[in-house]
Amino acid sequence: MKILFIDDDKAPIRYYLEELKDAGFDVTHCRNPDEALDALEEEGCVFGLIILDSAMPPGKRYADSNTEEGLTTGNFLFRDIRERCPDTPILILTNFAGLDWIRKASECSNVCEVRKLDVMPFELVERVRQMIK
Amino acid sequence: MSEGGSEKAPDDPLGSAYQALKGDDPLIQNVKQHIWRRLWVRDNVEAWITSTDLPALSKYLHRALPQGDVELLEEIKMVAEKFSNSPHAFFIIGLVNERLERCHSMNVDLVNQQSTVTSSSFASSEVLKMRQTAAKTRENYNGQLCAGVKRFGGDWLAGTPDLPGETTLLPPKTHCQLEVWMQPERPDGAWSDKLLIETGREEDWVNFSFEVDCATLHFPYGRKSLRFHRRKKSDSVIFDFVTPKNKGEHLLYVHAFQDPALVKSLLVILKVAAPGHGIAPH
Repeated sequence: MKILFIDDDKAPIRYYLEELKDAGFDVTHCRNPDEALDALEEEGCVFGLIILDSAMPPGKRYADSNTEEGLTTGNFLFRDIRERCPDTPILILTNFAGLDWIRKASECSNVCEVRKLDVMPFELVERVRQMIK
Repeated sequence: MSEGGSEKAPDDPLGSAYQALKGDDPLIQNVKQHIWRRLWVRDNVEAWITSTDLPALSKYLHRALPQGDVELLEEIKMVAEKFSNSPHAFFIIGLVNERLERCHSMNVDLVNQQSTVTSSSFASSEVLKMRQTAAKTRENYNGQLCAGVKRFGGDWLAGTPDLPGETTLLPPKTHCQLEVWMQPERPDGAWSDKLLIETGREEDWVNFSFEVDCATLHFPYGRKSLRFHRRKKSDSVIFDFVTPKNKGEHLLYVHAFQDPALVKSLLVILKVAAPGHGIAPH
């Protein structure tokens, strides 16, 4: 299964990436919203699941949006992804507790939130498996 | 804005240690978790200090810092202190100090309560000895601090797979019970947060006490205790409250204590529906 992993992080995200690949997932890693939306435009909704970081640089797409220095870029990207691929499950990866937009997003049946501090890479793989069941 | 830090060299000892540990053995998983949290601190604190706008950071940082995890807070402070000329670092250290102070004052309150009870029969050195002993008697635990809401003496209102705590609206003007429990796995639908204690003794039976802190809803004052097998779901402790008549969100913390340290604070956001909405009051 193809997974789109959108996160500007380098370490320790690489452990997540390695664990997902070891578990047999075909992972496309994008480091900013521009790369992620390009991938969706080029490939369409081929991804079985999208893992979305809540905070990252706004890129060109959201340069004029109020992303609060990138801390809410995930919110803008989430909305654009849902518009393009409404049925694709999205796992929001975040460092922040209780953000309103994540809480609202998590109300959708195929969206869930995971805090990076709490979830080790092998546990993320388990979450992914649960979501794509 | 990177939520993490810069790419680490291949000789990164912490990262190498994490990767070197393989297998499903619980002991290995515990060590990996310990390292993972340190990786998280190292990479994120560095990124917050070096790459984030301060006003934006100040708005969100309180949501990223752990509430009652003294060990992790100290670790964050230590990393931030390496950047002590940075205003970002000052800000982080200030916020961490506030949290540590809060943890400390809650612990002192409890120790003082114990001292009051014992002062008539023990000399001060003996009281001190008791305090020192208490610090060494923590019991290891790896699981989840969980909470859900029930109608008084009745069915669940929030905190089940069908009624997730994050999204379910509670009925207004309803007598409710906040149930708090511990279990090894993350619950489905309940509010929960991971609780990891690995510097104490290995005991099958562990003891925790719980307290609820909320500025906008009235909860009975006092601490309630549980003793349970650490690999099984515990019983629940119950805190009664009444939802207000108006729609709104209410933030509360469920504090978990052990020996007598505050070891975890679980943030629970209770959403109350407008009159006539939410699950119908009985």
